[in-house]
Formats: sequence, structure tokens, C-alpha cells
Amino acid sequence: MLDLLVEASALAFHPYVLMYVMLGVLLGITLGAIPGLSGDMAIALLLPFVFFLEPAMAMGLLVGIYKGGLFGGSIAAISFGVPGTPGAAATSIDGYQAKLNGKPSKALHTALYSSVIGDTTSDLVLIFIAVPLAAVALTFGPIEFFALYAFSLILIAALSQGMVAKGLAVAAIGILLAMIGRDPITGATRLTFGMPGLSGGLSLIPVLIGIFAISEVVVQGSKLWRRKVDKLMDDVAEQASLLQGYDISKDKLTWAEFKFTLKATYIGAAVGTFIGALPGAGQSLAAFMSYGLAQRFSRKPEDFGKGSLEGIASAESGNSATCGSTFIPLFAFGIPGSATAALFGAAFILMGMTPGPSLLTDNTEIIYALFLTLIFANLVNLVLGKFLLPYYSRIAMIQPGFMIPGVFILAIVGTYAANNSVVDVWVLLFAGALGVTLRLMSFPLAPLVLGFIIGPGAERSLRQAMIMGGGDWAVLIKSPIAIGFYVAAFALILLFTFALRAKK
Amino acid sequence: MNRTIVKELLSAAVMLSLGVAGLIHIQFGAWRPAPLVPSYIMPQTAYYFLIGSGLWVLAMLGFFTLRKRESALERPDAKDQDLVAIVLSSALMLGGAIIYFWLVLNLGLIVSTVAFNAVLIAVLAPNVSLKGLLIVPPLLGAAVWLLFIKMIGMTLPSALLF
Repeated sequence: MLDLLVEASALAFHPYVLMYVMLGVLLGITLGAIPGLSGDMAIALLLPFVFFLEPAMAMGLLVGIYKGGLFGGSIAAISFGVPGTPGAAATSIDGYQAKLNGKPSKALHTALYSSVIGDTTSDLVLIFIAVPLAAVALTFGPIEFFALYAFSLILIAALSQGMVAKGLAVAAIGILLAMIGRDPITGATRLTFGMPGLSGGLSLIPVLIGIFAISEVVVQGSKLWRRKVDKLMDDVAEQASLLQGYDISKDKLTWAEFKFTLKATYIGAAVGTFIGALPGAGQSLAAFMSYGLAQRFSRKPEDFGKGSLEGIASAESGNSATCGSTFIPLFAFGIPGSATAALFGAAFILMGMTPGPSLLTDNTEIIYALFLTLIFANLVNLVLGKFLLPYYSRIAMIQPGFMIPGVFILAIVGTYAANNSVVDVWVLLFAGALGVTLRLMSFPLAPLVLGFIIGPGAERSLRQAMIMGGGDWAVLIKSPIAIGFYVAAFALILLFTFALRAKK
Repeated sequence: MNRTIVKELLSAAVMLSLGVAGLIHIQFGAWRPAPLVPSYIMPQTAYYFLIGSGLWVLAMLGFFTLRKRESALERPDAKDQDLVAIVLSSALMLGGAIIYFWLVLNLGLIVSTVAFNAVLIAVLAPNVSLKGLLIVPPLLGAAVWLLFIKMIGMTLPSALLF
């Protein structure tokens, strides 16, 4: 064990890896702070580069972007009342009020500290839970694995924006996209409709970049075109002028204030860690549930919504605490529970590692190095945040009008560069158009990506299970573990339906 | 009929047509036989889910319309999308991307990148200044050259320019 730790440390603390982590955090904060851009988009855009980096460096860069992006979202939320990421929406309730009350520094520092505490708690839970869970998963057969895939798909479909039917439909579309290409058993081509370019199946990179990045920049482009951002930029400039004559020395977070927010931070850390581990629940739900619970247990619940530091701490801690635990299903079972985990899963696949229980046994050093990187990235986030916080608010004022076209072009060139494939560029544009259409019709996107990634695994398990059962569908409910997964999915959907109704 | 109902009806129509078309394809398409479990078992399951989801959306629509509670179908954080702007933006960006990539293959990566970026900024960015238009596209061109040509060594067919 000690040898393993030494080897993992040597990988994780290699100067180049540390440099990539710092670069990632800076990039993540920058993109997270600009409304409309997000860490997920940056991760999707950087996937082609994963090919050209050592696994530890690539992971360091992606982890840095993820963590930086989570915190970056709160900067725009507090500074301008515009959440940089959906997870920061709850932070903006009290964060922006605190800023209007003349306490932007206190609000930003509270967000930073609670974000780091929540995130670290979640990472520690991941480190101590993923390995034993993966050992359990190694005993699963095809029936249990199919139940697990079904559990994740149903849960992510049901919990993504609370639209069960649309979530299930879009997950089915994701599975169908994954079926394009050669049938793994018969070798015949399926769903290619006579197009030879599709016989190898759709690559991960163009589908992920198209669905996440291209569709987002097209929607942002439409907003720019309508000069909606014009109004936003005016607001930003107006808000920035409010800070003129502001004395930062009177706005420092005191030890007593920090201590007062700790209870809310711990509530957020616990709720966020739990929610993050469930497929589909997401950062936004974690942040709002943490906020609601922290208000219920606060000594000053009446301050919530009026710039309460506890409100900021609970929301930000809940949001960031999903960071580590969202990887638990990915590492233990190979199931990405969120869009970010799906992107990391894709990165693992691109680096030749298969997400799932064997990931930990086959690539022990890399995974332990990743665990150390997760903790180190929190430290980087804290230190960079502490020293650069006064400058970060200005990041949110970068004009999206210049950023969006650049992101769009980088997405196209990056997709081509990954495989030097023209077909991938057409798939990217098709996926982008599909993403825009789905957004227009209010379909959630995360189930599509989950369906696309776990589709082949789910099909393999289903076919193996059916062969074991002689073609009888009843075989799927013959294992007690499988039944447990179906019951758990149903119970969790009920639980969250009531929780969401209470939130409304 | 309000916008949400139209959106839900369209969604249901898309789900049902995809599902039914898929099942027809399974019935009449050329699928290679596989032992015991057919190779279309997973697509077929997905099509059933699509049809089921479409029917579910229709049932919900009918239920809330009959009870005159159409607002229950709207998501609390839903914002009406500006359809005209999205169609124009899609046409400009996705359609433009096809032309851009054709130019990359025939004219050259850097020249096409600078030109396409300048066009996008000119059309999309509000209050864009001539200075910004002259500075940002060449900077992006340089970044693309550095990242993709110098660092990654991306290969492209030889083009007219660079």
C-alpha cells in the first residue's frame, strides 16, 4: 500500500502535472465566471488534447478545469447576480444580495472557503468508498449489470430537470446513437443507412462536443445576435460602477463570521456528497436542497435571501460537494452519473482505460494519482482564489461576443484534430444541430450522453442475460440484487419527486 | 394554443414518429440473424421507450389541458427561446461551419480561421469595434496554428494558401 502511495505521489506531484492542474484551475475559473460558458464545455473542448498528453497530466488539467469551473460560476453569481453555471444559481440568491449590501469580498471569500470544504469532503468520500464498491461490482453478472445500467438510466432520466418522459426518450436516443455501426456479436452493420463512414460507429469526441459545446454556443450566439447580451453588459458595467469608492479593508471575512457559516457548510457538504453520488441529481438540486436545509437549521433563518453568508456557504458547499462523489458510480460501476462524469469517462476511454470496477485494479497507480490530484486541485483552487479573488470579478466582464466564435472554431478544429477525420466534423455538426433542437424542445441533454456512453455496455449485459435465460425476459428479475436496483430506482424517484415539489 | 402546448405536442410527435419508424425498420429492414437473441433487441427496446415516452407526454398534455392547468407543464426555470434568433444563429454557425471546413481543406487552415472568426464576430458581437475585429481573429488564427499545427501536429491536405 505504501509503495502504491509513493508511486502515485510521484505521478501526481510531477512538476508538469502540477502545472497542468494550476492551468486547469485558472482556465476553469475564467470560463466558469463568464455567463454562458462552463467548465463542462471546456472539458468537452479539451478532450481531443487528451490523446496527446500523459494520463496523469491530462487528468490534472481536466480536474483543475472542473474544480475551477465550479467555483468560477459563483463569481459571476455574486458579482453580477448572473450564475456563471447552473449549479451557482442558489449561490446568487444571497451572494448578489450580499454584494448589494456592500459585502462582495465577504461573500466571495465565504463561497471560496465553503466550496473548498465541500469539495474536499466529497473527494475523501470518493477515495474511501469507490474502492470497496468496485470490489462488490466485480462480483456482478450480466443480470445485475443490466439492472444497474437500467437503474442509472431511469434515475438520470427522471431527475434531469424533473421531466421523466422526455428524459427517458432522450436516453433512448442516446442508446440508438451508440448502436450505429457494427454489431459486436454478428459483425453486421446497424443503423448506418448505407453510409460507409458510419460503419465504425460514432466517435465519442464529436458527439460530446456537439451536444455540449456546439449546441451551447449556437444558443449563446442567438442571444448575442438579439443583443440580449448588450443589456447584460450594460448591467455588468453598471454593477461594476457600484464598486467605485468601495473600501475592501472594511469588507474582510472575520474568523467569527467564518465559524458561524461552518454549520451551513457542513450541511452543504453532506447533502452535496449524497446527491452527487446519485446518477442525474446534479449540482443545481444539491445546491438548492443544501440551501433549504441550512435555512431550516439556521439560528438566523430570516436572513436567508437578504445576503446571508450561511446561505452562500450552504449553496456553494452543496454545489461543490458533488464534485468528488459524482465519480463514485463511474469508478465503481462504469456509469457516469452526470454530464461531467460522462466527459471524464470519455477521457478515460480515449486514454485506453475502461471506466468500471476493473479501472481501479488495472490502473491502480493512475487512479490513486487522480485521487491525490483531486485533493491538490482543491488546494490550488484555495490559494489561487485567495490571491486572485480581487481580479476574478473582472473576468466575468470579458465580452462573450469575442469568446463564442473562438470556442466554436476551436471545437471544429479540435474535433478534426483528434482523429484527422472529416466524418467526425460532420458528426459534430449533426450532434450540434441535434443538441440545439433538443434544447429548444426542453429535452434534458445529460440522459442522451449517458445513454450514448453506457448503451454498448447495457446491450452486452442484456444480450448475455437473455442468452443465459434462453431468450426469456423474466431472467432480468431473477437476481435479488437486480430487484434491489429496480426498487431503489423507484424509491429514489419518489423521494426526489416529493423533495422537488417541496422546493417549488 | 400556447407555446408550451405546441412544444409538448411537437416533442410527442417526434418521439412517436421516431419510435414507429424504428419499429418498421426492424420489421422490414435487413437485420442479420443472431443466435437466440436478435441483434435488434436493444434498438427495439429503445424504440419502445420512445413510443412509451411520447404517449406519456400526450397523456400528461391531455390531463392538464382538460383540467385547465396548462401551466403545470411549464418548467419553473423555463425561458421562452427566441426562435428566429436561434434559427438564424444555427444557420450562420452550423451552415457557416460547413463552408469554413470546405475552405480549410481547400484554402488553408489559418486563412479560413481568421476569415470565419471575423465574420462571426462581425455578425454576432454587439457593439464590436474595428480594432477588436482587426486584433481578435488574427490572435485566434495564431492560437490555432500554435495548438494544432505546432503542438499536436495535425495533418491536413495541402491547400492553396496556409
